[in-house]
Amino acid sequence: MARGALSLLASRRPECRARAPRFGPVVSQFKRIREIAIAIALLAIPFFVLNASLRDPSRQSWLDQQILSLLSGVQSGGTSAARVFSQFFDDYVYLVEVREENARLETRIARLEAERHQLLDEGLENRRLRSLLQLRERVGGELIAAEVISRDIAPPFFRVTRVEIDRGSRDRVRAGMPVLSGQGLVGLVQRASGRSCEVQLIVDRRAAVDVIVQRTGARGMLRGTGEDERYMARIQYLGREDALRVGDLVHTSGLGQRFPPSILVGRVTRIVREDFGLYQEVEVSPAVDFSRLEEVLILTEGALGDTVADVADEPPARRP
Amino acid sequence: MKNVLFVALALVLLIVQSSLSALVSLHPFVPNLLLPMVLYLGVTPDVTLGRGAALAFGIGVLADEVTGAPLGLDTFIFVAAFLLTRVAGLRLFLRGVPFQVVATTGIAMIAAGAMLALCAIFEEPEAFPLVMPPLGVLGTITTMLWGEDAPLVGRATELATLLVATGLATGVLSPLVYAATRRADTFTVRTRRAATES
Repeated sequence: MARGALSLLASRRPECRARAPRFGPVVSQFKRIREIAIAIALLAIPFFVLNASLRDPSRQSWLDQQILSLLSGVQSGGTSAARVFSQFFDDYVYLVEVREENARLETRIARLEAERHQLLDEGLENRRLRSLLQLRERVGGELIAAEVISRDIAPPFFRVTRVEIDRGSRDRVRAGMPVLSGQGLVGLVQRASGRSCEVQLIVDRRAAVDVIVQRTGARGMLRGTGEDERYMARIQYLGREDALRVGDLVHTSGLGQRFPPSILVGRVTRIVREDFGLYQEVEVSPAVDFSRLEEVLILTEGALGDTVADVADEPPARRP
Repeated sequence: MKNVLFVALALVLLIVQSSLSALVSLHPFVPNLLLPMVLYLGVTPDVTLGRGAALAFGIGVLADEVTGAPLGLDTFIFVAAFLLTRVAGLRLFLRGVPFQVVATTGIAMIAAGAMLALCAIFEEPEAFPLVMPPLGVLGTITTMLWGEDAPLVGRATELATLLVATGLATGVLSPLVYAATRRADTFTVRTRRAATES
């Protein structure tokens, strides 16, 4: 066995190879005894420690007290290290929980935000539908509700030039029928197909509406300007003597039976009176925001009982 | 490097053991996950006697500090288990998982018994060390057979249950601990070999 240990020692360290034949057995023996001594000591220490720590304090010997006082320092260090480790672990777990809670709360906020937007949308829709309902009661006649399904947009200001709604000839909608919204007059049905129809807006260059200024009773013909950058119309053939003011409300007059009377068309925004001529030029901003238009009413039967389309089919009377 | 790795693994096993007990009520099947690690050190020829005893001592101190056991209890048991395993020269890992489980269960039961014996030797005797036998048919039979001594039988039954349950729990989980310890052991060898080759 000693020879085996010797050869092992010799093979491991070249510098020991020369000394190995002389000191090998002694070194090996010394190492063996040292290891056994260490092992016995390591077995004895906990035994005495256990004896000292578990014994009744009144029966502790001087050796027990010395061991315990020696241990208290070690134990204090160990406890501090354990506390630091535990604190670190607690902090880590806390941070992980905070992160998870953060993610959970972010998801919840996103959901609540979506619900809030939905409620706002529903509130706006509710308001629009309520105003449509009020309009239906006020206008009378037979009205069909419709939704905007597409819009023609004019670049570069994204102005809506024409809308398409989800009612057509199958719903008895025909060209020339007035289209209204809760805000006011939208325009006329220009072309009706099976399940949809196109609506010409009152700001279209080809649109013409007989209007009356509510405050003064002045009458004129409203025509769209068809401008790219804004929704605007002008009242033509309004006498110079009519004292209009900016902010006056403009309604449909009901004459010509193309539109029902007293439907809000817009508000006077600019008045130009030249030094010469019979008429003044009045710009009207429409009451309806065509960019946000979603629900409309189509008047298929006039308040007086006659079909509006029948009247609309007649050639328009020539104006001066 | 290897020593640090072993101590780190012991710490991890202690945390697992404590967390397991905190999460699930395992009583009386409470495993001692550090014991198989000490047994591994005892049967591995690469670990010298002094180093193995020192490692067992360190692991025991760690266990005493973390688990709140009387200082020296786990330390003594672990060093003793290491020395006994080394002296007995068991070759657990050459005989497969079943032998590992059986041998570890036996040693764990002996270790648990030694712990109880040490506490009984050094601690003050309990004021009321008797345990009433369990209720039901078993309790009735025990009381009928032993009469006034039934609480002593209850105490003995409880201790036996504790020993067997601890031994079984340790034995069942021991292959995992052996695998983890072996991996930590070979990791250092691989790292050293790779460093030498490069």
